[in-house]
Amino acid sequence: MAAQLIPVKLRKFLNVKHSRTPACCSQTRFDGFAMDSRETGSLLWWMCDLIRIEYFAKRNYISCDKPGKERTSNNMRASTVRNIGHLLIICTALISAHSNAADVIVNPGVSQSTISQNTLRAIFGMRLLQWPNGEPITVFVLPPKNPVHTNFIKERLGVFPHQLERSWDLLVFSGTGQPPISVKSEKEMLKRIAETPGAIGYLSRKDFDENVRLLPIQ
Amino acid sequence: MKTYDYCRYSKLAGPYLRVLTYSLAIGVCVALPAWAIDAKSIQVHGFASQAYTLTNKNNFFGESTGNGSFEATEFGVNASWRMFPQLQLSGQLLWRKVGNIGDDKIQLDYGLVDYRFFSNEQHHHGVRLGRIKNPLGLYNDTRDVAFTRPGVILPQSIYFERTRDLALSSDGGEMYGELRFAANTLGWELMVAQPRTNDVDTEIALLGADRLGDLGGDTSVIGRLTYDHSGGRVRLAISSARLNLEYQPGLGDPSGAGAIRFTPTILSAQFNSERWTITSEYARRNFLFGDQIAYVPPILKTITGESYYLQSEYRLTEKWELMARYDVAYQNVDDETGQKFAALAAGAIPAHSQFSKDWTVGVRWNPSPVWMVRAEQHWINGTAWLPFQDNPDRSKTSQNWRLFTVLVSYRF
Repeated sequence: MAAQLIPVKLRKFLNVKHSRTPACCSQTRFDGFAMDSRETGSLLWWMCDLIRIEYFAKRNYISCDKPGKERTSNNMRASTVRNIGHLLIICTALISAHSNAADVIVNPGVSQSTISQNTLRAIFGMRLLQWPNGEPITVFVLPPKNPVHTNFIKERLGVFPHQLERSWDLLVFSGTGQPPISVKSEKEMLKRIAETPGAIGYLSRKDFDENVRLLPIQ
Repeated sequence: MKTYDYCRYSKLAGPYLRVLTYSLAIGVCVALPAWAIDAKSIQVHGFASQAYTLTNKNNFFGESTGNGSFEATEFGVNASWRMFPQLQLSGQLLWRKVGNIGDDKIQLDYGLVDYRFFSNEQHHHGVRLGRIKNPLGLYNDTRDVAFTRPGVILPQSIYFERTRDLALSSDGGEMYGELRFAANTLGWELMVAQPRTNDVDTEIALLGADRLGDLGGDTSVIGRLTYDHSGGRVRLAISSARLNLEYQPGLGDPSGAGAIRFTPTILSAQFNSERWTITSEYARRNFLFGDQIAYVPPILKTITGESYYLQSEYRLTEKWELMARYDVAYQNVDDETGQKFAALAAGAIPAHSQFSKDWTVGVRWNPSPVWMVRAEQHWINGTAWLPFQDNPDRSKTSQNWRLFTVLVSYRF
C-alpha cells in the first residue's frame, strides 16, 4: 500500500527498484485522519527504509562509475540538491501525514488524569463548565476551517463540526451558554492553555513543554 | 410600549418575580466593584438578515406578488456574562420587520439569569429566571437566527410565522438539567411562565381577527425532554406546552370573557452524518376555546390540528449545502379538506385555509463562516400557514401558489 503512495516518477527518481514495504505500513494513511502512534511509527520506519534504499542505490551508482572518474563539483552539487529535495519531500510527507492528529491538552493545574469521550463532548459542547474539583473550565478551539480542528472533532470527540457549531449557536442565541474561545493558531493555543488555569484545548504538535499537559482519553 | 413591558407577570407571580429581579439587579450593582470583570467572561454576539420574497399568488412577508418584497429584515444583538461557572446573565435585543407580522419595535427577546446549582461529570441541573426562550421542538429556541434555521423559512406547519409571538419567549422560571451516561445524553427543561403575547397578532392567530377586547397570556407550562446518542448522531425530543390565554372583552364586544387553552405536542427526530442531516417532526395542536368566546365559526369549541415534515440536508462541500423538505399542516384533523369549515364560514374563508402541503428545495452557500446566502423554492397547495396579516381578505387567497426567496445573513 505505502509504496503505491509514492508516484512512479518519484520512485524512479529515488532509484527504488525493490521497494520493500513493511506489512504494517499498509495501515498508513496520508489523509491525516486517525493516525495513532503505531501508524505514525510505521510511517517513520517506512521513511527510514526509503532513505536507506536510496542511500545504497546512490552508493551503488557511484561505485558503478568509471574508475578514475573524478567527482566533479557539478556532480556533487546535483547530488546535494537532490538530497535536500528528497529530504524536503519526506519532511512534507511526514508533516502532512501526522500534523492533523490532535490530542487533548490541559493546563498542568488540572488534576484530572484521564477523560471519557462523552465528558469531552460535554466540555467542548460547552455544557459541562467545571472540573470535578469545581475549578472553571476554559475551552479553546481553533478556527472552524483549520484541519486540526476538524480532525479533533471528528476523531477525538466523535461528532461532526456542523453539529458542534449548531450546539454553540443554540447556546449563544438562546442565552443559555457561551461559545468556546477561538484562537488563531496552535502556537496561540499552547500559550493560552499554559497561562489559563483550568484551560483545555488540543494540539497536533508533540513538542509542547511542561507548561501544558496531555490528557489521555479513556 | 407593550414590548418593553418586561414585568408583565401574572397577578400572583408578578410581585415575587419583580422583587427578585430588583434585588438581583441591586445585588449585581453592589457586588460589581468587588469583582474584577474578566473580559473573556463577557461576550457580545449578533446577527443581521435580509430576505427577498417573490410569490406568484398570495402575499408572504409583505407585498410579495408582482416584483417581490424586501420586507423581511431581522437584526439581533446579545450579550452574556458568565460571572462564575454556575452563574450567567444574558440578554438579547431583537428588531424585526417581516411583512405585517408583529410590530417593528426593538424587543427584549430574552433576558435571564441562569444559575446551575448542581454539576458533576455525570449530570447537571439548574434554574433560569426572567424572560426565557420557549423550549419547543428542535428549532424554536433560535427561530429568528437565520444561521440556525434549516432554510430561509422554518417548516411552517410547526413553526408558524403568524403565531410566532406566542411561541417566542415567556416571562417566568425554568428548571433544566442533563444526564450523561456512556454515549447517551438526556436533557430536560420545565418552564412555568406567562407567554408573551402581542395583542393584535395573537388575536388574529387564535380568534381569526383583531377583536375589540384584550387577549393576554396567563400562567402556562412548557416542557421538553431530549435524548442524544453518540454526540447527536441520533437526536430525539418530545416537547409539550399548555399555553393559557385570557380574553377580556372590550366595549360593545359581541364576545364574552373567557380562556383559551393551546396544547401543542411535538415529537422530533434527527439523524446526523458527516454529509447528511435528516430531520422529521410531528405535532398535534389542541385548541380549547372558552364557552363565551365567539370564534369564527362559533360552533367550533375544540380543534385539533396536525403537522409534520420530513427534511433532508446534504453538505456538498464546506461551502455548499442542499435542502429538500415536504411539509404538511392540517388545521383540523376532523376536516382535513376544509369543506366543513368553508360551509360554516359561508364563503368568507376558503376551504384551502384549512390545510397546506409544501414541497421545498433550497441551497445554502457559506462564502465565509460569518456570511451566509440561501435560496429556496416552494410549491404550495393550501394556505393553512399563510399569514392573515399579509392577506387581510382571505376570500381572495389562492390554493396553489409558489414562493421563491433569497436570504443574506451576517453574524458576529
